[in-house]
Amino acid sequence: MKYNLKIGKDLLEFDLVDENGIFKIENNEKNFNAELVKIDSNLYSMILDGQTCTIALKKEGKLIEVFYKGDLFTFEVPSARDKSSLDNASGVDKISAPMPGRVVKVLKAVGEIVGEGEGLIIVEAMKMESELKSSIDGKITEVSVKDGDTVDLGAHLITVEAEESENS
Amino acid sequence: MYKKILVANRGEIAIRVIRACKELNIKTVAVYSDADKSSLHVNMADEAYNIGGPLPSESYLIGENIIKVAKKAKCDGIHPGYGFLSENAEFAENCIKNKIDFIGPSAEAIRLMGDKITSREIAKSAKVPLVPGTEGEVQDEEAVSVAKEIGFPLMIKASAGGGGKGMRLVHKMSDFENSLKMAKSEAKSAFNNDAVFIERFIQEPRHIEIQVIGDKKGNVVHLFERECSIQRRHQKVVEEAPSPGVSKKTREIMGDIAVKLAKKVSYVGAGTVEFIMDQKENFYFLEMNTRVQVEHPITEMITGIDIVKEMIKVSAGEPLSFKQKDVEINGHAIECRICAEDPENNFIPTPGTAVYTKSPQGPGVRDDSSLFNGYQVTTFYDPMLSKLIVWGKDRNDAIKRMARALDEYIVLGLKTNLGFLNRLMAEKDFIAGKLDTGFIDKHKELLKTPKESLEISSIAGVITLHTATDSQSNDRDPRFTPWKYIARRSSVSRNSMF
Repeated sequence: MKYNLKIGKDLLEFDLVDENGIFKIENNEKNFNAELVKIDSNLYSMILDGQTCTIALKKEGKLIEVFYKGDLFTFEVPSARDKSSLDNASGVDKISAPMPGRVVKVLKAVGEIVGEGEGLIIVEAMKMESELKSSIDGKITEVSVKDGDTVDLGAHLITVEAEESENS
Repeated sequence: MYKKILVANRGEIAIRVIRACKELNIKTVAVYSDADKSSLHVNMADEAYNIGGPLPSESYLIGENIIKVAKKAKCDGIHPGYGFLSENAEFAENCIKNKIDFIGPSAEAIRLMGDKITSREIAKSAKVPLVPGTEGEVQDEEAVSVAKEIGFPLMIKASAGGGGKGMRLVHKMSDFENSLKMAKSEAKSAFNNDAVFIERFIQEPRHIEIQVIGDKKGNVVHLFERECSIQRRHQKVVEEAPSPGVSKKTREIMGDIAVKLAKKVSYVGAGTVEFIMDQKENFYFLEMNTRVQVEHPITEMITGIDIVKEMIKVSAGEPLSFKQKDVEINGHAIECRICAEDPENNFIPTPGTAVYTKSPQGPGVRDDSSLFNGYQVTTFYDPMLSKLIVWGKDRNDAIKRMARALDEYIVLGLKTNLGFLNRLMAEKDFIAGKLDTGFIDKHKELLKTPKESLEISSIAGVITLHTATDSQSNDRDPRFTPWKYIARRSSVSRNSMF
């Protein structure tokens, strides 16, 4: 069976064959034999080609969160629409507040060209300042806040659009 | 000895103090904000009282209300932990006025050491080395001779400065006059004030601190050093004791100096004298922290001394239970601060719910934690979840044990720095003890999650997706069927033949 998982902007493709709980999985031209054994509520042993991996995971709606060796990966089960828009590499990066806090400084204005990884805005929460960066090359199309504003979790801050998506 | 102690704090340090009290047969009173009702420090104390809203300024920072609770609950001591009111001289004074002991140094000692200028003066009078530099503005005509005296490399800084403007790093005398001119003109245009001062520049500085503890009879003992050079946002992440960069001789000198400084202010309880040290073991006084330190457990692990219990005992008037000649370093200890933060994203805090957690066990491992399944990390408090501490017979042994323990640690539901710490324990400069406060900036590769981990996680993810899709039409537990059991058994026996 074919499956897709989305992480960040990347769409991962899998081909999975279920042989009574032992899974033959093809991903990125690599083949794996895997088995996922539940230990308690969220703890699993994954036996991957004979190697044991300690995994913790939870599935909630369309999100699957996997913990492995100290890192946490959040996969999204893409909808059909996601898949087609991902194929076109949708070039919009809408930055929203990752937590309630205060806008320290808006670094870019509407119309400015920015590169991937360039800082867009500095926000402060829990006594710490963080710079939020653009994930794409593009142009600032919207700025919803100004220096000193207090923002709630998820509030829209700034939008970057890739140049080609404006043409399409 | 005290009968009942109020713990004016939250999180792991409140739990740490409660544990010490239990071992001393002292009753404990917890205080909590609205956000902390379902937290372990409340659960573990004998009594608990709500003291207000979730913001620290509405609860943990209102000394008056905390003293009221202490009186109502008939407490004879208040332990402030670290942070919040722990270095608030006025609070310490008010406790005493209300006939409740403040478990820590005198208000006077907090005041003297808490102030940057007075603490520098006291340090100077105790002959504690300070970073060489001009104390005020440097005049043009004396600049060259002053620079020679301070030595190179040195830093010229604008008196009105900030943000790197009017700052110049100078490596040799021949560059000095030109750099001074440029720094002054930059300062003039940025701050309309061309006053500058000069300070020795400490290259690749290490953060070294000495633990001291004093009693009310005038005894002060040091418990050696801790190295806390692995920092992000000027905050410590990994600490170890002893420091791999401090020789036996330097250790003795630093210890003696720290004791002398503590004696100058008749220090009672646990305190820390912080130094900045260059790679040649030249060290200079930074500040004194007049409270129990987050990283105190590593000192406990190498000395066998329970610092929190000792603090309580000396505050109650007992003499220190040991003398300087009795304390020895045994082995090596490391602490990692497990925090809800995203190393890949500039260590931004990651509030949320720790849905599932599992902490490491086994020999030499200690986890001072406030975590439980369902623990909520809010934006009101520090994002530290736990302190993982290990002991080993030497540094190498301790690093391997920490790597092993980190590998066992599980936090699901929010991003943490566990993966970063995991990779740090295998980093060759870390293993070699080549540390300085710029370490993380120099080793940015440690911040990235490995591709292999993503691959392995995605396979677990796709199996979960498949199993969920598969079981939607079927309510049976998808994890176990006799068929799978037989298949698994045969696969196991197949594997074992090779």
